[in-house]
Amino acid sequence: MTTEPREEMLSAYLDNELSAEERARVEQWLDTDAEYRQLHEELRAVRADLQALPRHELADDLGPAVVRKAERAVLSGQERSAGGAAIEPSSRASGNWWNRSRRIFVWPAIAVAAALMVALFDTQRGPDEMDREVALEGLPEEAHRGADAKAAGEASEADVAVTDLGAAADEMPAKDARAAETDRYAVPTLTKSPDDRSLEREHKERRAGSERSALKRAEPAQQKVLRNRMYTSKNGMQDGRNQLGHKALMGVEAQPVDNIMLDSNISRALKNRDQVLLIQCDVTPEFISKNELDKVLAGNKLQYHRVDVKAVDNEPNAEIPEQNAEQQAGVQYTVDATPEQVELIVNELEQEQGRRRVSNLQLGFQLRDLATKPQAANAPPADAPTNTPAIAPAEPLADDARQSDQSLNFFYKLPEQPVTVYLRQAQPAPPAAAPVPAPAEPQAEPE
Amino acid sequence: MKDDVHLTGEAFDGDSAAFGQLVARYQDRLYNTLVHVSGSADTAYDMVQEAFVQAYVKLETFNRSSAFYTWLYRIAVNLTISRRRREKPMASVEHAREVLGDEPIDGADPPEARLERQERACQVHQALAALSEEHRTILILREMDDCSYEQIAEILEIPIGTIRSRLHRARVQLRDQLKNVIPEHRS
Repeated sequence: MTTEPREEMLSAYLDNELSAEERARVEQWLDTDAEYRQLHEELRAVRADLQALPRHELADDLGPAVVRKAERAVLSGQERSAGGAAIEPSSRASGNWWNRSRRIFVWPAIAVAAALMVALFDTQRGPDEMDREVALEGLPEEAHRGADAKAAGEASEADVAVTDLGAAADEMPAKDARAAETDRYAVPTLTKSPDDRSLEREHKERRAGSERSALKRAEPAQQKVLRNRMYTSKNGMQDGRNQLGHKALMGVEAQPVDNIMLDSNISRALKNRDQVLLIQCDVTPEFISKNELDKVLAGNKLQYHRVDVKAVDNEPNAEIPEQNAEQQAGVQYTVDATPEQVELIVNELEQEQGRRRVSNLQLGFQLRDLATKPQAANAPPADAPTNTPAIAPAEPLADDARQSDQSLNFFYKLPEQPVTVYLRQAQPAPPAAAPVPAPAEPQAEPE
Repeated sequence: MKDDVHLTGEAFDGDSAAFGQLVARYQDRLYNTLVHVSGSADTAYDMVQEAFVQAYVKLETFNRSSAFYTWLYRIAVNLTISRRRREKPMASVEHAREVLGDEPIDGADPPEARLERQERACQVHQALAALSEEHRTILILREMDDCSYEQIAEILEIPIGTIRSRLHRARVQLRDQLKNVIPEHRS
């Protein structure tokens, strides 16, 4: 179908997209041609109808969710071209250096995310209401078998250390025993391993100019990206929520880092494949009591270990301020998962966010051995059921690593250590359905 | 308030919070456009998120000679049209009512007038849904987003001369569609 240029000019006249000369011609036709005037009125009516359509707005700020998805897409090396027209040909041809360097970082990062830890915080459960639950109760038989076999297979010297300390716990005063029980189920904290020390040496040598890593050569921009995110995470920590619980889970209190630390962490991850991806969120009590995540994991035939983390309110300690904070009650899952399975779990939790049962969903990396290593100071409770699953160490630990100092003082020394690459976005305020209680006043679980 | 150039630069340097500000700035405008382009609030919601994700992932391909939002719109419109082509067209009255929702109640507004406006909007939505993708999209960009011909040319990647003729054809077709669904449509 062809359109008369005269008529097209009428549309452009309506849109004020004509030159002065064209405009004058259209106005002359309008004065002299009744049919032309009729068309003008009809087009104006069409415009009025369109402009009267209701406007739609979104109820929520999509920013945090979008950025989280985008960072996951970057981490998984997503290069979809569904919006292909968006890619400028010139950029494609030149092979943007920033893009290349980002991919160089991203692939090692995702390659080491072969293990997954999911931590759910029930912020409404008080310390006395958290019953220890057997992880796979009520779940498919194969999930039991898988988890039991994995726990048995990975029983190491660390388990022996826990058992020995269990006997010692019998002699403790009741209060100490309770604290030890709490620690037993708390997420282990960072320690300094021989690997850390060797890496420190390695990086000192590297800084002296002996050999620059391929990563460092390739991606100053990416390091800047990471540093920005580290700073973001620092801000995110200062939200009045339970500091110790988050810090222990993340294994690191985010602090400004320099290139040596990032290099160290990346190099370490490449060498030892020792990072786990950490997914952390707040959930409603029902989400835990109904074993919602267990169903997702078991439904996808994922083997996992579940540990219930008790809430704790430490005695004030002026010397170690970190120990003054409370630890939130919650549940921690350790899962072996492929990147696709990680995506599936995150998607599931995001859907639960939409249902207001999950909030503050966060992703991060944590060193695997440090994240999963039972601590020498952690004694099991005297009445602990023998089949309560524990977080198994990923690899047998060297003797001096097990004997290393377990103190939270480690956090003071953090800037000297290799750190976990920790990607975290500032989180929006939690929804009303899952309020975060003030740290000093844990709320009782509603009836 | 930082302008788009500053925010895209900061996002490019890895500041995801800056990108979050861009999302907050354009999410509603983009969502409204995509509701009408796709004819579905659910699809529009998904596509808005997907478009921002794609924009973040491909930020290094953003040619700063154009505005961020025209680049973003190009991504979003392409995504939405691709998706819509895979889905069944939905032009029923029920669907139109579902997409348009209820108008907010204004005490000074007689109920009859409100109902009449809702009915009209429903019919316009139906008529829009009956247009081809290219005609519907160009009309929405022009009439609802108030995009200039130059901006539309950037978003749709077509010459300005084509914009003029396509826009006119789209208006004429919508007029004809409205005459079908509203026989007494103003003439």
